[in-house]
Amino acid sequence: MASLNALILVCLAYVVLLFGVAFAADRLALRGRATRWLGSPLIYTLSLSIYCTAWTFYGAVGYAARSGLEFITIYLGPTLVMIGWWWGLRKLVRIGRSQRVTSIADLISARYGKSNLLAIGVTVLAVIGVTPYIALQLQSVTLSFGAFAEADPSRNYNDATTVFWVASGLAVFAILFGTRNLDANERHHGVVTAIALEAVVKLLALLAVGIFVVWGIAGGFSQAMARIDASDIGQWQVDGGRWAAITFLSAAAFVCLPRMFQVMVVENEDERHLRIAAWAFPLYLMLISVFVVPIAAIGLDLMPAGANPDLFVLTVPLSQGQQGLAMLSFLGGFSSATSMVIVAAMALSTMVSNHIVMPAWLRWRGEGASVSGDVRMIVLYSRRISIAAIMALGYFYYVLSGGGAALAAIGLVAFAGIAQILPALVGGLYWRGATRPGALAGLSVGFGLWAFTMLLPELGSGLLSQKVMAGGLFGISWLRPRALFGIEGLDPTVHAVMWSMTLNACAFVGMSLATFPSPLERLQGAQFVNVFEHSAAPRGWTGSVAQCEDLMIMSQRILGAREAQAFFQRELLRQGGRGLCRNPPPPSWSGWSVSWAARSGRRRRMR
Amino acid sequence: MSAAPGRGAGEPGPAGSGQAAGHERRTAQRRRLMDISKLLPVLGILLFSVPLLWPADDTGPAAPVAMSSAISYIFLAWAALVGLSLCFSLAVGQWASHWTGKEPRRRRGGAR
Repeated sequence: MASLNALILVCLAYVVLLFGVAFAADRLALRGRATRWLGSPLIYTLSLSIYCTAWTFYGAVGYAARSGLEFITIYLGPTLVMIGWWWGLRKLVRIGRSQRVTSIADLISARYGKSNLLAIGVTVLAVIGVTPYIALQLQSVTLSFGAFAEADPSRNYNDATTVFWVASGLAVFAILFGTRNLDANERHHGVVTAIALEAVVKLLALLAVGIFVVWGIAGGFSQAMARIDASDIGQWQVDGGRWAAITFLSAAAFVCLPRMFQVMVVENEDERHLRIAAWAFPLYLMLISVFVVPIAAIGLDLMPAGANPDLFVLTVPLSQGQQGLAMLSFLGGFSSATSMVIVAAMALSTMVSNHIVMPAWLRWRGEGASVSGDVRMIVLYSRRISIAAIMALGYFYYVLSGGGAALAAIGLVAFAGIAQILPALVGGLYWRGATRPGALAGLSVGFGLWAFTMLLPELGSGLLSQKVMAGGLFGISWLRPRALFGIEGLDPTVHAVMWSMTLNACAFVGMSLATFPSPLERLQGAQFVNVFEHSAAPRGWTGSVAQCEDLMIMSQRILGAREAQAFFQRELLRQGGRGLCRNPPPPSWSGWSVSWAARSGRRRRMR
Repeated sequence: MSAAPGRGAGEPGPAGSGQAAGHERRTAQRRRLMDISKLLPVLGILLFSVPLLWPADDTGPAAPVAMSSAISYIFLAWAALVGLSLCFSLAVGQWASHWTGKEPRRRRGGAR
């Protein structure tokens, strides 16, 4: 019996390894030696695998044991997005690079005339959608520790302390490597390299367990297939509506999830990496899901009736006395959970800090752009505090909800919430007529409907009273959360996704047609929709010297759009320039550091 | 949702004009690439929609599909898509020299 102590030791050693890798990668990047393989397509592809969280590592097997092949829709959506990369992701990445976007909220805000209100909306939606998802990861790590503790009764083991230490450790990692410095491009080589390593570990772990189950327990491929057909999940029993709806949801979430946006767009070194990721990432997804059904079917067969199918990846090897394999599988699950939590916390903290904390702080100071001195440390502190706050939210969510089955449903709920960004995003990328009021209307309608039909009914008993559930809001039967407009009998997920996405898109299109974009919106709309005509090369900006436009984009995030633009415009006029700043900048602007931009009090000639 | 169909999904055409025939050939190749790039996800959606046609319970006249056949179909379709995507990536490397920044192989006087 592997003792719990041995497990904790292995786990700590693994964490030290991750810290070491992240530290070494950061050092290499700092010395400018990053380009060779830190910035390779392989690392990029592997970093995309944070899509596969613990919900997919442990949860996929549980999902398969409960409802057969439906789990696979979670991977089919991203596959479709990836194979359509040439006219989808390529444009998104090009825009992200040419606009130096730092998060999905920043992108939406930039497209719709630098509207901070929209950015706040997207940020709030992301925090509400992702916090329970972080709690789910904490739960999975705790559960997997619990599975080992059960096998080792000599130890006294406490769930509450484990989850506390895991959450704190992850927060420290994210703060150390995610907020080390303030960079106009928001790239984090250390974190990306560490999650690439974790991607390999989780794939190997799941493959190892799968190979053991198929060839070690079942005795070969055909025997395994025969056992699958004979098991409880031996027949195709997927509801068509759910199949289509969840495939769509996972495709939408793959693009809109803040953590996916972070690794796919923000951390992207070179747009041409998509060429490799376009087939390598679907291949990764296929490999990670190929053994899920065999593990589920044989787990159902082997394990006692009450066993939790979410933990089959761990408990099946344990029950066969395969301690080493179980340990590897534990590390796989641990990797999936930690990489997701770290990147999600980083991405959310950037959004919260840039769009909520900093504008509020500047307003509270009442000085606006004329704040004196260097504000970089304040930005960094606000990010660090945001990371800690987001982790604390996830932790308290886990503690208050008490874990259990209520959390397991949260994966799809989070996907559906985040997918509400999709109409504004796609509209912004392909339709010049999309306007800020349209995006706001779409987001609000989608968010409201999602909360009413999915979030509140799923999360909780008590949040929506029985009267509302059965009789509708204000007693109007058309406003029942599970049967809007009196249409009954739909699956709750299909119902929520259909209504929220349809009405979201309708509100977005309708309001966009009814309103007229401001000049800045029109400019940005053209920059986005025709990005391939406005930006020359796929490589984008690699210069080491900051240009005027880079400085302006960066200071907009810190000072707020209007003040930064006004300040730059003033300086440009003073130096005898004309037009908007995004025209070819005068050479004298180069090499200006950002902290200078914040010091408007300092008036000196740029020579 | 199409990205400016026709000329290279909104890409500017080749800047330097080489021999007219070579230019035309490259334009045709690039246009074919764009067509494939749009067809691939459509093909994916079609392939993954096939399971919607399978009978889902015992009530209908047809027997439900066995899990082993369902798994085989989905993973074969998936592998085919991965293979096609790989082919497309290779074709991009060969033909989309305006994007990869490499000179096209076996031909002198590239697009850039």
